[in-house]
Amino acid sequence: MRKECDRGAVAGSSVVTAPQATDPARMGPLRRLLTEALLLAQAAPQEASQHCGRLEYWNPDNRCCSSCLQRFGPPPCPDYEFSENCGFNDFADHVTYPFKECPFGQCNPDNAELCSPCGAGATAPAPAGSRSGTQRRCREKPVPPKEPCPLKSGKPRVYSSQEPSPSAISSVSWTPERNVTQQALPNFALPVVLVLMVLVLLVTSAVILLLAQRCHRRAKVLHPYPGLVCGDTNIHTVFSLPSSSPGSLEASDAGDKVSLVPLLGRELPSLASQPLSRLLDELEVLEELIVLLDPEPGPGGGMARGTTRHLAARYGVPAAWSTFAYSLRPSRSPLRALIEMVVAREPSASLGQFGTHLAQLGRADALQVLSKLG
Amino acid sequence: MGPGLWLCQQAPRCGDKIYNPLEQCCNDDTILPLNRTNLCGPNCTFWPCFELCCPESFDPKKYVVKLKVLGVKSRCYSSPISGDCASRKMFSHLERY
Repeated sequence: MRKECDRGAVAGSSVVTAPQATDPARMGPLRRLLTEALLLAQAAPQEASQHCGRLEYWNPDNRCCSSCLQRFGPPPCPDYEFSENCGFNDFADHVTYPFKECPFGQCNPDNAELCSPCGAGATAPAPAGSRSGTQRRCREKPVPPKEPCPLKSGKPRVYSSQEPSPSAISSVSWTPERNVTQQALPNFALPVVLVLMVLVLLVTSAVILLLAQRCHRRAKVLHPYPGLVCGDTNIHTVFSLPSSSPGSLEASDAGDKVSLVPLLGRELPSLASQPLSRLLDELEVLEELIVLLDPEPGPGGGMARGTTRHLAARYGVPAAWSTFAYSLRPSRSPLRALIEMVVAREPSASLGQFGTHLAQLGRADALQVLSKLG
Repeated sequence: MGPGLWLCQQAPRCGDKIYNPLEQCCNDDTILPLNRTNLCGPNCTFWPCFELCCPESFDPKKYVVKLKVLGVKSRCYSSPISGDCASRKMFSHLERY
């Protein structure tokens, strides 16, 4: 059942209030017409488009009606249908969900656009076109494939990070209003899953700490500064800043011209092949990297050097995206958003590649932090 | 103007139109300015050029905004979360136009 008035007015939609009751005999023809128009407008659902039909939504930029089916694909779950205008208002805002359960007595086993009476065998015809009858249709597009249904056998299912999707890190619980009694199943499974995850994390952290201690002991013996190796001319310098000569292993007086040894290839060979997604699990290291890489000091960030913005450029991300990511601060770290996006786009991205980019940006401090993972 | 070759690069298309990727994006065959925002649920805004508005569940009060993954067709079930709607500022519809 759709909630309308108790949700309050939706931003972007016009709020219509009923006029005060008046004696029709006293009202002139114009006022009567206005009253009837207001009443008709109020009778229509608040979210209903003023331009398009039930299974379409208004595109205010192209000024045309787009098909819900061509936007979202068929309803992902059985016994669900498209909401009115698939949840859009006439300002392209998402005011409600694109799909809703079939009304009582209706079914949709075939993922049709609309439900039909159960057992009828035939899908109910789609409602007539645009209310105004004059709005044009947007360009036709192919219908996307049906998305996976978060429901399993009509029961709610809780998504966790152990789902097979490589980049799905969100936790989704779907508890339709009808299946109140079935909430016990996900409520029982969730704590068990969480406990298992905590155990796995503890074991992994213990192993990593042990390895880190061994590496630190070895590093202290061999190299006083794990982040820089100086004086060893046999080491092949893969990268250096443009202003420094190849093979130079010493930091300049200004401190901003450093040729870095490929730590990942020599000091921490195991890190080079590890997935970049591991960084999302190592929260302490990630937090330190955020503190080092996200800030853009100086007026307007003009003095910034080797920040997340530059790192994003190394990954081929457009500057506009970096501007957007930085606008999410402070609630959201641009570095975290960048890593999540790179991992989602390229699951095979490695920590070695990440370290290479840091070295090319001359961020020895960040490389030192990253070496803690080795 | 030098004598060198001028390299032409195909402008990106959005439907049957071209657009400037430095200032605009293509979303649902619609050219939008990069700074366009829309409502995702009654109390949350999102940037349609960079984010997806996804239902967290069929509870009408819960929405989640997810990052679009550049270079691929992003879908709600496979994209990383961008942020919590509750922590975002309420957007004034009047500022949009």
